[in-house]
Amino acid sequence: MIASDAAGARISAGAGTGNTQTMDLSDAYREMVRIRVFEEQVLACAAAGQVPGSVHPYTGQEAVAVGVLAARQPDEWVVSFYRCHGHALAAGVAAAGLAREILGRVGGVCGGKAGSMHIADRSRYLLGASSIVATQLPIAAGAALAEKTAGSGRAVIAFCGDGAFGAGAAYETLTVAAVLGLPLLLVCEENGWQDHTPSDLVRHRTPGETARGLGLDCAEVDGNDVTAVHRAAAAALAHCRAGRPQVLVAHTYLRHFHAQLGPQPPGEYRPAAERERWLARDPLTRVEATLAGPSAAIRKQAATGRERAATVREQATAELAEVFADALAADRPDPASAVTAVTAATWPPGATWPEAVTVREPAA
Amino acid sequence: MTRRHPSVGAVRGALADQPTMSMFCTYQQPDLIELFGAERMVRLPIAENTMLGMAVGMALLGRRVLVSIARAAFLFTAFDQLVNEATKWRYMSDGQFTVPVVVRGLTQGGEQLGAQHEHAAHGLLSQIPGLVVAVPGSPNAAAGLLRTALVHPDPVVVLESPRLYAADWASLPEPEPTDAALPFGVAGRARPGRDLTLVGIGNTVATCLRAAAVLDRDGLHAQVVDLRTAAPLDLDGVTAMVRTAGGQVILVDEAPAGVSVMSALGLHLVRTGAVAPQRLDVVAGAPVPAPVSPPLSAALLPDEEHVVSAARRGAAR
Repeated sequence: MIASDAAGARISAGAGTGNTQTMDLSDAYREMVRIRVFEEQVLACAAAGQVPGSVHPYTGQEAVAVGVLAARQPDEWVVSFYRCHGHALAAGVAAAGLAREILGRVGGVCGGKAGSMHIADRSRYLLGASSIVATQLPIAAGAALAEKTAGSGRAVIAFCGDGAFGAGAAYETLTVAAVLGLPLLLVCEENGWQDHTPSDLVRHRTPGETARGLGLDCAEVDGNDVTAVHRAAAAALAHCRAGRPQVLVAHTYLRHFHAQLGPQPPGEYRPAAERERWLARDPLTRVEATLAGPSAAIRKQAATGRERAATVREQATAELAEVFADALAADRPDPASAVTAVTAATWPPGATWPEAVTVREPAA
Repeated sequence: MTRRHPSVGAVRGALADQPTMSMFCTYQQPDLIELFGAERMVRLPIAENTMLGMAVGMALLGRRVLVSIARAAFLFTAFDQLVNEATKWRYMSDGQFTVPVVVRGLTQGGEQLGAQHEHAAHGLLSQIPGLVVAVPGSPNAAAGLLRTALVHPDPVVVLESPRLYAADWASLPEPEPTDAALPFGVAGRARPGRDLTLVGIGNTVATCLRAAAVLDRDGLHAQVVDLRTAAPLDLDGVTAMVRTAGGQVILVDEAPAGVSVMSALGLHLVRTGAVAPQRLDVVAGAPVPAPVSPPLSAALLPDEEHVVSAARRGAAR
């Protein structure tokens, strides 16, 4: 169910409340392609057995992360979940540190303790990602309360999937956000599935209906249209910063399905027709069409638009091929670092590590 | 004229010292609002999971939160946020973030609230890596451990016996001379004695002190050790104290004895040779939920008579 037109009208009615963020479509496209190529590299590494743990690829949803985060102020915190690579890259996390983290190599942005699902990067205001559905929502609300209490005028942006709306934490968080007037933007990436289950089978209300039922402002947008996502996010953030929490539902789809664990390719159990319908609406192709199209604003780019698209992909491929080759050549973290950053409390000798426990070198 | 509970001063002092500290609660204390403002005394719906998650989020941005969760048993509703988020975020981010959250909850004993409201959870919580589990054994220890908790950069759960806050709390045996800050992971000697060692935690510290007074009349002089924190557990400190008294040790806990703080301590004492296995005893709560009727709950918890008989049995060996 796509309601971008109606929602878009509602969004523009709310715009003009001080938002000055603009998004350069070429920049957005470059970032979306980087995420796409990065994730393809990660999937190739996973297929080669080089990724410890699981991978939840972001391919197909790039317009959401890029469109939303182009509307944030650079010091507004972002809270993510296990499908976090796209959010991390769009937030400005260095591809090298992210790749090394996912591959379990030295120099990873979280020292090898986060892996694929729990990326945090303080320098980029990425507060972190939680791998348990909906647990990131109250945490984001708490961060928003911190900003409100500090009087900073900054919003907090949280991402979730549509499955998060099955969890009690979502209802509790939205209730509290409304009661306290928190500067919270919750972006729901509605891709129709929660793990192996189509969302429509296990709910009687969509996330948008739920949010509105709880008294929150909620816009719904075509999540594969980066311009529409950006416009909606910018309008929503303006309201958030003024203390009105917002929900943005971005309707989108995954190219590579839910999760990959180990070198086996991920299963695909979504209906072929549904898949084909969505893959035809790929967010990258749509920007390419715009960049190459006859729109007045970009007419001067029209002649070279297609070539530009190819160049952007080549550049991203070259950059990220080097990043991943470099990461794969890097050492594994020092096993002694496995026991650091647990707590500042002084765990007395003898209570810390029983003698029977030894830290072993991981298998190569 | 009633004396003000020492922990009141600990909380007010921390709120005064730290302008970025907030308190989350479902009931706002009027005196604290008057002192520190309603904005810092955040009233939330009865939704413990989200309350604790919000405390985590606020703390990640460097603003300390004291969460008053009322009953420690309600923490189980928020267990996901406590175990999976509060205590793991620092580690998962490789130290980029810390989570200065303090959770206070009442445990069990004397209130007859039954199974779902009464729970001595220190053994269970002590299994969570990195979580400080403070279990004060006296009103002054409650204040002292709170003072340390409220400047600690990581999550701390303070499990307080309702007995510490009962109307007659001032009549409790009070081993600590001051309400100074008490360090984590350092057990205290609540009472000196040369013949045997009684080790208590939380509620059972007072039980041990009362038992020691009875044993004095037998000519058995028991030292009493207050563990103060279930995690970190001061294995070496207790071992050193045990070595100063005669070779009999009784570990007294209101939590069940199975896989517990006391079983870990007992193993350490035996392995280090501080006590011979046959001279070590554990007096613990029964593995039964808390019933409501007073004689039933009394039957399940260790009291001084249990400790005294264990000591006499051990002395006869």
